[in-house]
Amino acid sequence: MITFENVNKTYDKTKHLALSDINLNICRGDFVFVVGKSGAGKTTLIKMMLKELDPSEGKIYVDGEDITVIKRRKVPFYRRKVGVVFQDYRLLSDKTVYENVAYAMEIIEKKHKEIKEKVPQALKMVGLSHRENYYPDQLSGGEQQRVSIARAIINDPKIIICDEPTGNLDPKTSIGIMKLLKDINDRGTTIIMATHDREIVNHMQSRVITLHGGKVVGDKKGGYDCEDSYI
Amino acid sequence: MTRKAGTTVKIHTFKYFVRDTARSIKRNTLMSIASVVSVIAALVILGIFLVIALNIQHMTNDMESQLELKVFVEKDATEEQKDQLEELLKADSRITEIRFESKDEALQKMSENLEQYQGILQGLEGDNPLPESFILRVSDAAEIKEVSDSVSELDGVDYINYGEGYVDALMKFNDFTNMLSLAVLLILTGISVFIIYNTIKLTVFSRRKEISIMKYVGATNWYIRVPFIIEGGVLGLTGAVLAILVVRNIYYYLLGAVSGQSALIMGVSFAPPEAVLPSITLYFMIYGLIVGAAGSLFSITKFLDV
Ligand SMILES: Nc1ncnc2c1ncn2[C@@H]1O[C@H](COP(=O)(O)OP(=O)(O)O)[C@@H](O)[C@H]1O
Ligand SMILES: [Mg+2]
Repeated sequence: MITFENVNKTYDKTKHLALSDINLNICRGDFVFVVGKSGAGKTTLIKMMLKELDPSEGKIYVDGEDITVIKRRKVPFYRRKVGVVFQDYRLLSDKTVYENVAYAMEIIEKKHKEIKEKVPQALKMVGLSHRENYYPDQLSGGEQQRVSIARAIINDPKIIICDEPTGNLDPKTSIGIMKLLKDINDRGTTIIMATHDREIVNHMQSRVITLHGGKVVGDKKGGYDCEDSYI
Repeated sequence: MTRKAGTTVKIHTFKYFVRDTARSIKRNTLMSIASVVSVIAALVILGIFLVIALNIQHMTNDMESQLELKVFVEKDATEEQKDQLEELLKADSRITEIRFESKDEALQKMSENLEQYQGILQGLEGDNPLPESFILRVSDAAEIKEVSDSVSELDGVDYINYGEGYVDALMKFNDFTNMLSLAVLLILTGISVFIIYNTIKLTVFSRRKEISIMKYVGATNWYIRVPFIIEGGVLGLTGAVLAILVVRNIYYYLLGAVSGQSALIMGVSFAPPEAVLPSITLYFMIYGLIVGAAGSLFSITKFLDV
């Protein structure tokens, strides 16, 4: 589903080598954690999958397509195939919960009828049917993150990419969010999630890719055990 | 997809744009007001200048249209020659008006102008020494010299009088004001575009986070731009309409203030509002719409790189 081939990333401005020699293969339906302490390169890896950054060297294939060569104009069409969830939710503040989710369908010119059908379904799935007409600033952090997950799944992407989705949430709320992501994964969606939350990783017992100083230093199924220096 | 289905989708998309634009103007009240005010300020300054420029044009046109050539007929010209001359003048398309002034009329006019000499002039009635003449008006004051040159060649023409120095000065003044108006117009337009563009840039800047979110969700650049462009156009047009009202009121106020002494320099008058305001109105509305829309388009472009 996602393949990294000899990927290096150097930030132009600072000449800092943020990722080096990354080779990865993530299969359809996987639930994969990308862990490592702050500055390890998790966000850089995520941004390359979102085509927000391009690698300095190497290739990245997503769903069979080499995304390093996608033309600028085509990037929006690539992004529609990938759902994305951020630590800070990134909801449109002047739109209601319903409209935030509907927006992702409006931009790909889905029919009104289909939008009216699917948005309530997605909101029901994330448990927010009763908040349809609320604005983001009227919701708790956990609720906002649920809205952003509903938006991420609304167009049925094969892949969902999350960068520290529980980073701003308390442990109890985080577990709820993880349950939701697991449900989505169980329906066949590939999920990649960057985090440094040890509790969550241990709880999920899934594949864990560990980054340290821009290199992959661990890749196995299980908990966030490894050496303490990587955390 | 059938054509009909395609069209319904597009109509919905347009409805979303209108909805988003209306909401964004409402939500960003302060920025919207700032944009409108900057458009008003820029256009009022521009408008006052335009009114002045159009008035100068109106006045010089007025003066130009009053310019006359006086073609004096040779003393011993026969009736036949005079008829022939008149025919030739009538045939010249540059000449718009021909009036014949007989010896008697010339004397009459002279005695009106020189009241204190009436006694002397009365003695001349029997043996009038004043020449007959044709008084011409031309369609374009710039051609007055040419017309004079060619008419002076005609048979039966003694000499021509048209106030050469005055015409030259007027033409030079006219060219000068036209050039100056154009230059000031361009500079003021440039300045106001700059002001409006920067205000809109602030508006867009305050919403860069929103724009980046749209990009993450997979909106194309055009999809993101359109509501901003509509918004810019609406704000620009609003500012333009308000500026028109301001300029209009200022103009009527000024006209009211000078109406007592309307007999201004050399009998020329202010341009009537009906002559000036419609062209300014049209110009402003187009200007507001384009500057608003284009300002949004350009200022949003740099926030689309995500
Ligand atoms: N825009 C940038 N320009 C230069 N260096 C950056 C930039 N973003 C991140 N880095 C550097 O790249 C490294 C990896 O950062 P990041 O991918 O954000 O790590 P993580 O998400 O794991 O905390 C860090 O050393 C960071 O300082
Ligand atoms: Mg990070």
